Amino acid sequence: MMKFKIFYKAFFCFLLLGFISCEVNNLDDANKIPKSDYSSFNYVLATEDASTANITRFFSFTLDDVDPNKTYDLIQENQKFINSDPSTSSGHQFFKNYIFSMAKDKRGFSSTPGLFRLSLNSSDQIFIESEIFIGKDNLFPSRKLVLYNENLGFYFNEDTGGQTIQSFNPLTMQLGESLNLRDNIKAFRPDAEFEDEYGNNLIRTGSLVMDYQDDKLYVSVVFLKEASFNIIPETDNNFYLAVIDIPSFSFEKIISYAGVKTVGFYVSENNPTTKDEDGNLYFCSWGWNQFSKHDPSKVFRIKAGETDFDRDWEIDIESHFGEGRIAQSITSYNNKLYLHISKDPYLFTSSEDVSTRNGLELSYYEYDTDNPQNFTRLDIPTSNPSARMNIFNIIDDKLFIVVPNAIPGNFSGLYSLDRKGTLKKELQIENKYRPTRFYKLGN
Amino acid sequence: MFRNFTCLLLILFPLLVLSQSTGVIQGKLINALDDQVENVEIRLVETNGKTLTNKEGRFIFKNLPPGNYNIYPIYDGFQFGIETIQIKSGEVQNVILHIEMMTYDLDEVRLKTLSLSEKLKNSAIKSDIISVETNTRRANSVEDLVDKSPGVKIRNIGGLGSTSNVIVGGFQGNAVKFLYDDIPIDYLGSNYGLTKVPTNAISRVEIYKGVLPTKIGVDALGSAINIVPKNINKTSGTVSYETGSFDTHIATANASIKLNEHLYFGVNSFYNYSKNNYKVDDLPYKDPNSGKVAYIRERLFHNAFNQHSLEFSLQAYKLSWAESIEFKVNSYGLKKEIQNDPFSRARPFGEVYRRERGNFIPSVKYKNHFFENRLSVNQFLVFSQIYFEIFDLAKNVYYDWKGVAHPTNSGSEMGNMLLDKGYLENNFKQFTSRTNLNYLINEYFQIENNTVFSHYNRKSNVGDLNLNGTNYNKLITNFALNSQFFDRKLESNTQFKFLLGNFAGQYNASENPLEENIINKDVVNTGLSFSQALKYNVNAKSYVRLSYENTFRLPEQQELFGDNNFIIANYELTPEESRNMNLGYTFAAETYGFEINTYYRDTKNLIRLKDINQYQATFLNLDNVKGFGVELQAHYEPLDNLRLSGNLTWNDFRLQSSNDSYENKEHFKNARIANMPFYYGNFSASYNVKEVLNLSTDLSFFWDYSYVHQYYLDYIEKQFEPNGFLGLFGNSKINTSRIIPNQQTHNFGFIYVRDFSKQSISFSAELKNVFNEDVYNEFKMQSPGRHFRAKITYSF
Repeated sequence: MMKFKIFYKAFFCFLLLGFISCEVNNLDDANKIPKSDYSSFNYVLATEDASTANITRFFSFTLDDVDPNKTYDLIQENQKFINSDPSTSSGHQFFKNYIFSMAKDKRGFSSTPGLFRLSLNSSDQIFIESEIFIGKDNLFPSRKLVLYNENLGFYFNEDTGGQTIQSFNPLTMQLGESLNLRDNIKAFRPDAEFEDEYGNNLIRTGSLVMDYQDDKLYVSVVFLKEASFNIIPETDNNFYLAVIDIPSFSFEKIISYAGVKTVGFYVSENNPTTKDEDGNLYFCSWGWNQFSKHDPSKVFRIKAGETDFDRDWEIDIESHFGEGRIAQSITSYNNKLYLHISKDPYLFTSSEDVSTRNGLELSYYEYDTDNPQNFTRLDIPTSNPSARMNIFNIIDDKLFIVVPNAIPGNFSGLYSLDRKGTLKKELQIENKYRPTRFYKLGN
Repeated sequence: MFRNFTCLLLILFPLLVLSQSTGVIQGKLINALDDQVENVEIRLVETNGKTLTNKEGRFIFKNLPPGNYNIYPIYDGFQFGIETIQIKSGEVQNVILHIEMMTYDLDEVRLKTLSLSEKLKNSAIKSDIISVETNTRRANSVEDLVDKSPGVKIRNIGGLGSTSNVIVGGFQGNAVKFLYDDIPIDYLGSNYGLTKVPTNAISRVEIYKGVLPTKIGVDALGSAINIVPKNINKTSGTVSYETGSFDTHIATANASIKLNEHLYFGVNSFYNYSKNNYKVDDLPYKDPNSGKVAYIRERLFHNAFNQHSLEFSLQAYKLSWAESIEFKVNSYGLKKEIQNDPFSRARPFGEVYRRERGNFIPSVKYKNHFFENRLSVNQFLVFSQIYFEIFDLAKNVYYDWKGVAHPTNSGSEMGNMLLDKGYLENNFKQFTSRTNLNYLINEYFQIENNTVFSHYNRKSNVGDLNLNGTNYNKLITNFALNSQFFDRKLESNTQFKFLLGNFAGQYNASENPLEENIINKDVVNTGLSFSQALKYNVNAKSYVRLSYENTFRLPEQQELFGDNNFIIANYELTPEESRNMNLGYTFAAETYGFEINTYYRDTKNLIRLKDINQYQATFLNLDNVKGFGVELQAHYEPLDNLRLSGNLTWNDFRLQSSNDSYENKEHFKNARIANMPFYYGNFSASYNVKEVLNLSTDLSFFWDYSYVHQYYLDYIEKQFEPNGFLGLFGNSKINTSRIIPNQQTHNFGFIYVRDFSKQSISFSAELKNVFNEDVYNEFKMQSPGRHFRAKITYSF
């Protein structure tokens, strides 16, 4: 019995000792001291986990230290790739040492809306450095943002009005003026319904497109049939853009393009527009209209110096690749257009099924803008779709192309293309990481 | 708050010096069922006292003020006959307690049969019994008591009436079933939720891990919590009033009246109200000038809860045709303001609320014995109709965290288009029948059958395709053999459980909300569970338990039917299945005891919500999970009246595979289940200073400590987990803010009890989260910081 008592007391002490703080180190990203030296760990690759888009991780690294012939497990090599997870999406826009994200705490397709400015800290981890509040519910928030210069940017601020464009200073993160387009839209379409019987907004401005060319800001105007699911009426077969003069921040006109309903994707930060070095502004429609009939995927433009669409120039993806094929990402580099195009018909109704997402292949194409019939396929492995990301970035005067592939055995990583047309494999990573965006940050 | 607390102490302490001459009850226990007389618990009702018998079966209660006392033994979880003793000043009263004696005046043979029958039924099943009655005087919630049990962790955002997620024995969510008096609790809505029901309203809580007793006819995967109401057996009553921080008020009134020798009338009622307006950190607030987000600390402003609950019962005993029959009517209503969506405090709501009401829920319970008490029959019938409503009526407005409304452009605050003009009503009708039969074959064998049939009908004001609502029938029937071998050293419970779920009706099978693909479906799900539980009594102080089961859980009606909009119905769901093993050792001595339990689970086809397109989701049979857990618990009484107790739980449940073959989840194979605490424990100390201060009344101080180890919100590959022992410390390769940090809370309080001849009055106060630590729920939403509760109870 004595032995038992000793055992018992030891057991009781063990219970007590169990509570002694078992702190795990380096878990939380609490360091908010900004990084000062950007000579290393200045490239950032954002990835989504292959099994869920809810997990987005940022990896900072030094590009010169990467062996392009090695396949990296990014977290395993955490001395070379510093990982961080500030619980935001990988934003599309970035400049200097800032990345701008518009979604936080993702849960499927809902998330906390806001304008989150991310930066690297002194431990080379991404953290939320500053943020602007967007008081919108978490269903269908707009995620479009444009940075005009270091001191002026715009976003769709649905919390202060259904058709309000908000200006802000990206450097100071201070709000500027806002512009409500309601009266202008009413003048353009007097019978337009602005709200449904419950009060939900039926006209969204800047939810699909927000970009600029010269001193003009272009903002999509979407007339919804129902607020639910962002449904556009079948009878409306035009894409509308409001033209706003930036210096005076005033409305000029609304222009339209026939045969296209949508450009880009509502809940994506994927920027579906691009400007070439001549100043032409291109728009990429992947034909998506949720559960309604889909239009052919097209690329069209506003020529430099113009403020209306160029009716004489268009790329019809279906005519080049067959029915149901779509272009999902677009960019211009070296005065050529680069598109991410599906190999097979894109299954809109099941686009989020893992079987669709991981089964469909998309290839990378280069288009001659002077002769849109002239296009070539880049010698880059095919990837999975990139519905919520734009896979192109221009960094160090090169075009960087991310190749997301969730299925083991397929290439997942990063390629680059220089002005001479030289393609280079830059980074190969394991398939459990789907690369979504590539950034270079600096002072 | 501290000042108020100190004032209370100063007011109370003068009362403590009042002393008077006291008496003693001493006695001896005679056990006619078997030879064990040592370590049998003897309870003294009026002082809430308890003690264990010594080797000779003797026991003693000292320092008892003059008055009448009721005393009874508890043996193997069964309450035996009560003796009433009158104590006069300075007197020593001797009493003999008999284990075979019951309160009913039947002949001894039949009584012994009954006792044996009860003993056989529960002998091999592992359960933790939380005697709530002994805690009714504490300013404490049922949730707090359950949360201190080994292997249990309750996560909620705090506050009266909040929803909670309970983990028991490695299971969580719908895998853990709740019962009220052995019956699946659905028929009472959320009226008896752990965060709502006051301690005075119930008798005890039974927590089952692993094999469930036959009497509980539910399709749990391996864990269940049974809330047991108070029993009526004499004219008595209790009223209590509890108040606390955040404008919290809880009142209870319970009484039972003996109308005649056979008839008792009972009422059990409570009222809850709280503003729940505690302060929390890190609320995003838009600076009106810059538009920047500042994270502020502010009080919640739209989080109030109120609830009323009434239960009337009429019980008849010792009738010619029934040992007992009870008619009961429950009625309740509650309203809960909704401050934010369930997953985040990114945006507050200022006007959204939900309401729930069940106006008239009649039930009847019949109990009788036949064939010289060898056959027991227990029949329960209930019909309930409950209305669940959500109101989201504010248009073109959003609120900030200071409670100020701003104009915006929206049809509702939640942005939930499921509601029809901001209103949703679901009407649930339910009929449940439970029949429990057991037959004692001989002293060592008993057969038992328990059958629960439930018919559910759900009707919604939104998108219901079935004119008369959607129906769901569920039948669960158990057959069990309870037996004892080797002179009762080995006890056994063998069960076969058949489950049947049948639903029929129309549903929209289209994933396109603009199209309708109406399908008539008639689906039958079945399962056959098997379980074997063994208990081996090593000696009078220790025993070993071992159990195995292969069990199923039928899909819940909300998993099958969806919500007609964002959650699409899935009539193809199949039952979840789990193979569980449990092994435990218990040792109990006079002043100390300990228990080790381990469990292994292999669970397949876990039902999980999955996005199927940009806006919609459906429940699917997806994950397969395997793992094991260890629970340790101990108590120790180093001094008279000083009791220390603690428990510690470590779980290691890991994802094995996903049924979604296209999903690349291979890297998460063997990853710890995301967003689930895996290491947690409690430590408690209580000390009764009655004897030290030579008081005539009880004055106990207590301290409770709770620890939850940090855990990740997302899956983390096993290879990247912290590299220290059991993953509890060291370096992780993952840097993330998506983690719930270590949480430690301390509660401190006292109970003062003043007994009169036939009445008693008690006062208790408790300071919770004394050090104002940050505590979170599973979505990293902060729970209340330091707050207090105080309670006064009067019993007669």
